[in-house]
Amino acid sequence: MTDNPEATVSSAVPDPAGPASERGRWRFAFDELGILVAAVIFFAIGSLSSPYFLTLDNLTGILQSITFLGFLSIGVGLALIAGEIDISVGSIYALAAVVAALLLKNGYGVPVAFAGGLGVGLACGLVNGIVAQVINVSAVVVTLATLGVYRAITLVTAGGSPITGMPEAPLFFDGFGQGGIAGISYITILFLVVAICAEIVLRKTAFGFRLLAVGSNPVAARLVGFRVERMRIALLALSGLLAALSGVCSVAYLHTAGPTAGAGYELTVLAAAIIGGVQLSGGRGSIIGVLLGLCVIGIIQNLIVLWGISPNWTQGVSGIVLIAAVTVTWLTRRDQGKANPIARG
Amino acid sequence: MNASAEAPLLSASGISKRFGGVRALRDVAFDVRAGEVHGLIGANGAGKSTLINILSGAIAPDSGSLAVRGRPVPLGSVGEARRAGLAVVHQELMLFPDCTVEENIAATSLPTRGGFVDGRRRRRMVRRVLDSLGTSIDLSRRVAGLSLAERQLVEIGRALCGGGSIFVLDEPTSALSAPEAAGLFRTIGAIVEEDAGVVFVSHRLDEVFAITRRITVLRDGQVEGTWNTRDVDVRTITHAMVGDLADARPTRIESTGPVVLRARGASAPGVAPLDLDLRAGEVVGLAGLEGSGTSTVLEMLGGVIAATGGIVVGGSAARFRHPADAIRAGVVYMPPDRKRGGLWLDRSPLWNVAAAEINRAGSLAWLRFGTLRRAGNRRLDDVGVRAVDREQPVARFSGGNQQRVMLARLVGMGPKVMLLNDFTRGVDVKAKGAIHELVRGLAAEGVAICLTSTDLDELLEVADRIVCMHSGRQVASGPAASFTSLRLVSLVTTGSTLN
Repeated sequence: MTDNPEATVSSAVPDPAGPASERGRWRFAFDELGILVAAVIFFAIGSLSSPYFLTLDNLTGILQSITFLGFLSIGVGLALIAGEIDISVGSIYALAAVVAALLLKNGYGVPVAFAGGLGVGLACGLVNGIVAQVINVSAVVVTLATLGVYRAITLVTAGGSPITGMPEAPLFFDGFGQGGIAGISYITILFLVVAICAEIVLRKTAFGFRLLAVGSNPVAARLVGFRVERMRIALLALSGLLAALSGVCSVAYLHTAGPTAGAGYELTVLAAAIIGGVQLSGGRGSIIGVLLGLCVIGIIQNLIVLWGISPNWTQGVSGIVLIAAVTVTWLTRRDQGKANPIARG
Repeated sequence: MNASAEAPLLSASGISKRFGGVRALRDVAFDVRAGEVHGLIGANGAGKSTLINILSGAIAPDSGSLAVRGRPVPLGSVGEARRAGLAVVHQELMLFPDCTVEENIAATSLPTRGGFVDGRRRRRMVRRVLDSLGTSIDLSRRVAGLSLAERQLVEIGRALCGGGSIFVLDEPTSALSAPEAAGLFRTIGAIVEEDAGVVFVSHRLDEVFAITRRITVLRDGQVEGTWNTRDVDVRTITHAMVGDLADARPTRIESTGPVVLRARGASAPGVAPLDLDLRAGEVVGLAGLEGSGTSTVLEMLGGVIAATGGIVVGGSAARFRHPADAIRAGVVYMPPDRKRGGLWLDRSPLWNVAAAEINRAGSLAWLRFGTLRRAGNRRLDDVGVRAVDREQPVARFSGGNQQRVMLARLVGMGPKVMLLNDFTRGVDVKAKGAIHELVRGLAAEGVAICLTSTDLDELLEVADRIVCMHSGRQVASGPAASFTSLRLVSLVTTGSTLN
């Protein structure tokens, strides 16, 4: 160290965190206020603009439309909060679906098909995590690569066309796949249960605390004794597992498994997470936020149909909402020092 | 040489600079002659950095003037300083890592033809410059792949290319190996051969004495004196750096506590095999300059980096591959950099302290926030973080309080050994005293403490025992009472004692 007179007068420099405000006090109470307000606004617009919007059929329809993406968004959301990312989920979703469908078709029965699908997803996620850890590359790069690899494996396995003609399995296809309580499908209920569990784990357990700690400052987390490396692998494995769960459920719901299904899901899920207040550089966010973000996207898609606008507009509107959400997040959090939330290798 | 004897290459006079209430420089006069290497030295806080920044034009002094070959240089402008021929090679080099050696050297003086870069002329120009430095780096190599010594060469080459005639080298050898440093000294010799001048800023007196013609010592922002290197000895210079400090230190009895951590031949990159005993209740100060290995020693003992050799903690061999292993064995490490590795600045102090408790919990252990909050509050009380709002982000706290939060978290880990790296960095004088008391208090409770500081006097004040390091090896150790600050300065700067 050389001498540094500037350091002795650092008190004259403005505090990096900006002037003390009331925000800090409430931040831990509810971080998702912004997205909640946004969801309510869209909900209000919907109910005022179309008489059909508030019907039970329509609302459960919206919920159903985000269910399969929802599983994916839980895994990706947790990874993002820890400063990781997984963009291979759409491919894992399709691969698990195809594997489960093929097992069914070949007469292995529902339990084996379920386990097979989930196992493949878990393996895919583990590969993502271990490769990222061993060759010390950002998960963006690894999952960008496996996004293609897993998709190719899916296409080859399925022979390029959807898998149909599975034998009858009333409990799986008609019961689990189509049934429900009060208009809400069992699959959606399963998704909501998983989401609530994930939120509880994030908020209330040591694992959740460490996850936020790693996302916010991985170096400090390591020095405090958190196994940052293992957590990275565990999160990508979990993300793969949840994507696979979604894929297997989609087989029950759709009675088919398309090898090109789920393409582009990763981008929708990322958009939902960001709209929902997850900081891309990690350390901030919640599963509730991600799900509300997904709801907003679901409502937008629904309204475009209800209003009779060309569906070609869907992605454009989602994009504009994304920018708006990030702007609001930036305005409310800019006093916290983490500058550009997108800038992370 | 010509008329340079009358008009020095560079002359600075009456330079003064204040930062708020702090006088960083007072009426500093300083000159460099053509063909001379001029050593500029001083303790931490003496004003070297400020003077360098004024020479480079990065900051403007409150008063004073600067002239190159008798012609005044406008102050406070990097561009004007560079045009006048002043080139500062910083500790952190300003190179483009993804560009080639050639592109980097020619970056500030690109020869063009009709708006396009003239590649052939550029190559010739760069080649000539590197030849004059007596080196042969491959021009097409990328800078990212070069060693630090080679990068310094590139930086010097760039300055030469841009017509530089006065080179300020700021701690150029702090991260270099001995042969690399020797190479740099050859380069410096080649530069002054061409009638340029070099200002060599270093903590390492052995080097300063080896290569300079004159030495100027700064102390507390003033020039203490300028000497011909030939006519002066290390003792005079260290004395000028340190001044007459009354040694009013508390006398301490030698600790007889049991050895908690024993290192035998422990080494890591940059540290030669080291023997070190840390006793319960004892504070050991590692004294050494940046790059001397003190920081690395703490990192390897704390499991932050891999170590080879034997480390025994509490009677059993320890092979730490992760800080978590060390923490389980009761060895905790505090990093020097609060922003990067020390704290979650966007989180509250309670949150930061809770991290230590949560480290012990199983993954799905339920967090009882009430308990965590009470425990955290108690720990923060213990270290004296005043009852400011403990829910607001740590970033809003003063440096002293941030340092206390880190200490509170370490204490929460239930340590037997605490490794404190630069334990009062960025902390004001008053808070320093309080942190010293905290450290002494922890030692009194039976914790073995090993710490480093850039302030050697502080080490003498806090530590029971001093271990002195130079270039990665231990050069002296003994009770703190057996060191004077003069002796310590000479040990860390030259690696040997005066007598």
